[in-house]
Amino acid sequence: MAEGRDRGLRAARAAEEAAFWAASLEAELDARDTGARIEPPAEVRGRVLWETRGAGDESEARTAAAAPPDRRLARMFLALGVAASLLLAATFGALWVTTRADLAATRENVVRLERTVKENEKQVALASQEAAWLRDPRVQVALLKGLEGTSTARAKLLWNPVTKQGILWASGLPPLPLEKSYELWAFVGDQPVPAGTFDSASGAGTVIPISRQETLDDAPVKFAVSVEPKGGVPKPTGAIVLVGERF
Amino acid sequence: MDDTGADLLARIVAGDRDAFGAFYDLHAPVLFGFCVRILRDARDAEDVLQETFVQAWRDARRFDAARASVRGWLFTIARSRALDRWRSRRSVEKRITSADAPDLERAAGAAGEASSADVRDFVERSLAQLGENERAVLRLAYFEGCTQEEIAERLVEPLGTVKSRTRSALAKLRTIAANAQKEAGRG
Repeated sequence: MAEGRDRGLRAARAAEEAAFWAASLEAELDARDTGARIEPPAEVRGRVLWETRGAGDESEARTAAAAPPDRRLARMFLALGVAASLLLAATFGALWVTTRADLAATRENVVRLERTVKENEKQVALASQEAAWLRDPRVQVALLKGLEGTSTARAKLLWNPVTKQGILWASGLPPLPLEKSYELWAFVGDQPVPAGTFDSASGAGTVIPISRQETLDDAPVKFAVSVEPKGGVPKPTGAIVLVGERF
Repeated sequence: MDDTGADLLARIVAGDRDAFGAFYDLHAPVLFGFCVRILRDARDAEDVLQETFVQAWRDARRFDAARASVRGWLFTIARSRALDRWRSRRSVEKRITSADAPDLERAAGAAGEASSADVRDFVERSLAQLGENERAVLRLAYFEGCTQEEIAERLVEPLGTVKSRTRSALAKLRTIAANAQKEAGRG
C-alpha cells in the first residue's frame, strides 16, 4: 500500500514539474510577444559584471593564445611599446586608474557581502523567534493540509492562545490575483473567526506572522485557510484551501 | 529571426566587457520580468537573472545563430536555471513542511520524489492525449529542447503557427497535469 502511495506521490510531483515547465514556456512566449519589462535592481548588474570579471580575463587569454605566432609577436611588441610609453608618460595616472578600478570592484563586493550579512542576520533573528515559539509550553501546534485542487499545499500553525498571536508556515499554495487574499480562520466551536490575511505562499515555506487577534476569546481547536477578497472578510465566502486541527 | 543583440554577442565572444554591459542592459529587463512571473519571488528572480547572464558570458562561443535568436537562446538558459531554482525551492519546502510531522514526512519524503525519468514519462503519456500537430511541437520543445524558431524550421511551418500550436498544447498539458495532481491527492 505504501508503495502505491509513493508511486502516486511521484506521479503528482512529476505532474507538478511538467506544469511548471509548461508555465515557464508559456511565460517565455508571452514575454517575447509583449516585450513586458521589469527593471532589475541595479546591484544585480554589478554582481553579474563582478562574477564574470575573472571569466573575461580567461576569455581574453584564450583569444590571445589562439592567435597565429606572428600576430602574437606583433601584439607582444605593441603591448610592450604601449606599456613602456604609459609607464614613462603617466605612471602615476595609470596607477590611479588601476586603484580606482580596484576600489570600485571592492566596493561592489562589499555591498554584496553586506547584503548577504544582513540577510543572514535576518534569517538568524527569524529562526531565534521561531525557536522561542517552539519552546513556549503555551504554544499549540496545528498541521493544515490542502484540499482538492491544492492537494500539495501544506501549512503548520503555531498558536499562542494567551497572546492570541500565531506564526504560519505555508507552502504550495497557488499565487492569487491582486484582488484576492488568503484568510486564516480559527474555529471556536463551529464558528469561524477571522485570524489574519496573507497574499501568497507559493515559495519555500513562506512564514506569515499572525498579529494579535483581539476577538478570539477562547482557544481555537480547528483552523482553515480560504481565498477571500483582498484584505479579508468577517465570515468565509470563498473556497477553503487548507484545513487542520491543533494537537 | 529576431537577432537583437547578435552584434553585441559577437563582441562578447571576443571578450569585450563593454559589449557585455550593453548586452545586459538590452535583455535584462525582459528576462527579469519573465523570471519574476514564473518564480513569483523577486530575490529568486534576481539570482536566476544573474546566473543566466553569467552563463551567457561563459557560453557565448556556443551560441548558434542557426538554432535560435539571441533572445530565444537567453530564454532557454533562463528557463533551465529557473527550473533548477524551482526544484531546489521545492526541496526546501518539503523539508519545512515535513519537520516534526511523521505523516507528512512520509508524504513528502524521498520515496515520493519524482525523478527526471518520472517527469519524462509523465510528459510522454500526456502527449499521447494531444493532437498530432500539438504533440509534434511539444515533443521538439520538451525532449529536444528546441526553440520556437527551430521548431518552425524543423516542421517547415510559419513561426506564428508554431507559437499558437505551442500555446494550445501547453494549456492542455497544464490541464492534464492539474488533473493528475488532483487524482494523486484523492488517492
